[in-house]
Amino acid sequence: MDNRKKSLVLLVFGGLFSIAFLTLLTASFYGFVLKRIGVEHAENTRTYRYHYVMIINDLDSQFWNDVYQSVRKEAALHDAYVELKGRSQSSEYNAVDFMDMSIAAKVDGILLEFTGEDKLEERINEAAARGIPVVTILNDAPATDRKSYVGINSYELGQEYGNQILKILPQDSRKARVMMLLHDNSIDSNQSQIFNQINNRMVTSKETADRIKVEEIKIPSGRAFEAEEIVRNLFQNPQGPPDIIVCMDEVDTEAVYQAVIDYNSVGRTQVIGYYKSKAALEAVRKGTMAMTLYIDTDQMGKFSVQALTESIHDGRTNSFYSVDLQFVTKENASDFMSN
Amino acid sequence: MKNKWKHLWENLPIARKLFLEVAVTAATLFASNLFIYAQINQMVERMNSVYISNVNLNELSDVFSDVQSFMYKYLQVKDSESLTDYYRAEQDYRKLLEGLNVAVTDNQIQILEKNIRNMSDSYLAITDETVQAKRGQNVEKYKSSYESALKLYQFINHDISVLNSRQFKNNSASYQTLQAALQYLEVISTVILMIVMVISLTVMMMMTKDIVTPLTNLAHTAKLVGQGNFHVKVPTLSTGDELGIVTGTFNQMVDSLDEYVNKIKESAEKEQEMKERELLMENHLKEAQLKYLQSQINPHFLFNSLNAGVQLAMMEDAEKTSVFMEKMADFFRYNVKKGSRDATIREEVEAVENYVYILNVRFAGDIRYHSKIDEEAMDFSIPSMILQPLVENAVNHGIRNIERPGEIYLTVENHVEKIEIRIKDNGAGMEKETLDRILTGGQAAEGVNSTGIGIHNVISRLELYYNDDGIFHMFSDGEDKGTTVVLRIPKRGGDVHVSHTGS
Repeated sequence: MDNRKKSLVLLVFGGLFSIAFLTLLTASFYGFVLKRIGVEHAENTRTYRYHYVMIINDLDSQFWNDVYQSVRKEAALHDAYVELKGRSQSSEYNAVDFMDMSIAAKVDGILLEFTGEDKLEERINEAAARGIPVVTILNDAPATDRKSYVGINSYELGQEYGNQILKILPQDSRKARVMMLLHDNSIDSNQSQIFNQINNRMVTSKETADRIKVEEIKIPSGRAFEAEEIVRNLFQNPQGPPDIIVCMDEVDTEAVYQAVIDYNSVGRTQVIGYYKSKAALEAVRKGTMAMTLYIDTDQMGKFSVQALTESIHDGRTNSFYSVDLQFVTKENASDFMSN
Repeated sequence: MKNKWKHLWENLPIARKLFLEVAVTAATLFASNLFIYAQINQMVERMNSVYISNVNLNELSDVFSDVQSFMYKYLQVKDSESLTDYYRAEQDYRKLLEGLNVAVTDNQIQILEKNIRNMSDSYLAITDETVQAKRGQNVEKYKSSYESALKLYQFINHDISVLNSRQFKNNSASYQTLQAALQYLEVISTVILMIVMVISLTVMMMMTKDIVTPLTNLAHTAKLVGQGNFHVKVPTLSTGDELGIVTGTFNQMVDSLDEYVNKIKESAEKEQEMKERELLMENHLKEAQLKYLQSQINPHFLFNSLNAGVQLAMMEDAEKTSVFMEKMADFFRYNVKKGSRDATIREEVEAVENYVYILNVRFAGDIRYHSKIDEEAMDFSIPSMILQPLVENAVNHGIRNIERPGEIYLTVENHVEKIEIRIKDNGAGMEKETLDRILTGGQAAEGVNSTGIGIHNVISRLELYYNDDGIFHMFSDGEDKGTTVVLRIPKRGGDVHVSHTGS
């Protein structure tokens, strides 16, 4: 009798416990589900005071994504949200359109990767006229009313490129070709300046002045797969591939590197890559790529936001923020990889 | 506290217990269902809200294209109707824009909303400008304004479709989550319902068993009791419900039955004993009578003969003989007449006197008879033929063989509750051993001259008659010191049954 009662009580309590447990489980599960839906429904979001737009050329670029992360982090500290706009496969808009949109949307500030497009400078001026500060990043538009430029010193970078090229030049006395892949069409653009500086450096160096030829190829933007075709053409040229190829773009870097492998030119053609994609770092570490340029994206993001914030608050700011750069070589590649 | 509840529960009537059980089960089921439905409701509501955002956006998009097309129409034909339409659409659109987010947040959808709203503001400003320019016939202005309005229109439309698709993406993700959640909910609710059901069923079964088991016990015990076994008990229940009451009452009933049966048995035994005693008494009486009748031959003939003798003696003037014969006749007549019936003390005393007279005639006045009678005691009844045998005993065993004159004292005293009759002689007396032997039943041999009724017969009859062995007492101080017999007769009549037996 007593045992029976005990087991009955046990059963009842066990049942109640399991019901309570299941209820709690369900409740917490639903809490979780609702919260998840809520996040997507913009319930748990942070509100900011300023709305910046960052306009770049290529949304898929890792470099720009790294910059954007840094920008967002920094902007959050200054109570601002940064919206990223850029070309992607799903939109046909260009930088000018994005500028128009941002101006119409009355944003508080614009970070622009200046690509030298037609009428882009006009838009910068229009934005400035409407009180929207524009900060150009990586590529400058010095002839506009942009508030500031955050990026590399083209002169310095060109010189540095020159030094690096001298280091990896084949030591024999035959002629060498240095090929530079440019994306910018404007004559006074940063990339052109860099090219000029490299050329300068080569020419001014006594030992290389006469035997090195620096060439450039301008890859027109806005046409799909152009880079790849141009790179392939380089290697199929009866003249043979250049001894050194300098890339100013991540996609170019990968395309060139792939071509070097495909045409069995490792060791014969040296590649100076752009930014630290995983493949690039790996290639540098293995020695199949000579080096790659690393631009401090953290610094870049920080400075861009600082420039915008300052120009909003104080009306003026430094017209140039210099961002550190570094060449990743076989020696320090593993450090970057572990980072 | 727990005990209090337990107590309360146990004292509930079965009907209420059953009701409570069912009610609690139902309430539990109801509660769990309620909980589940609440969850489902919340889910469904959430699902509804998921789609409302898309619906709103579609409306916004429609009104927006109205604005553009009415403006375009106005620019084309410049009629007042399309102008009115344009203004109305513009107003509607502005109203709808109010619903869009203005805050800067890190949520892409909200940013899109903000962009759409701000761009729409810009757009509306441009369209107003365009319309104004058209009205003012500023051809260049309205054309360029229209161009920029169109561009913005495309941007906004693009953003709206992006927003729409993004919301739809979110919504379908939410929808999938909700659907999965609903499926999970189904499983959980089934499990909960099953648990509740199992518990309820088990509890019900056990409760029913609690109710049925005592009933089975009761039936079993009742069967045993029906077979005459009163020493079985139903296990007592501490509950205060009907079962507890029934069990308790049943046990009480069995106890009472047992008690009654015992009482009846006892009284039957008593009656039996009484009957035996009656029989014994009758036996003794019969024996006495038989003995007596044996000693007489045709007493009527004897009485008649004696009466004839009395007549004869009177005719011959032999007065003493006449008296003697009359006393003889009285004496024997008393014996015959009384037989087994009760007699009064007076009749007994008369019989004794007659007997002594006869003896004195027979033995020439050797017996000195003294009597001291309390008249008030004379009419109480005692069994017949008690005193005469005692006196006969005193004569035969006491004073018959002594040299000195024999004396017999008969005293009848009236006490409060008893009548004390004392027969004392100054005869041979006896040792204590003899006395004990006589009292315990060893009878002295009865002489030839005895009337036939021994002392033992007298003692037995007295005991049986009064159901009391404290009536007959016999004392003697030793050899030659005489014997005293004392009867302490209760004043109440003897037992009714007994006094009427033998008649």
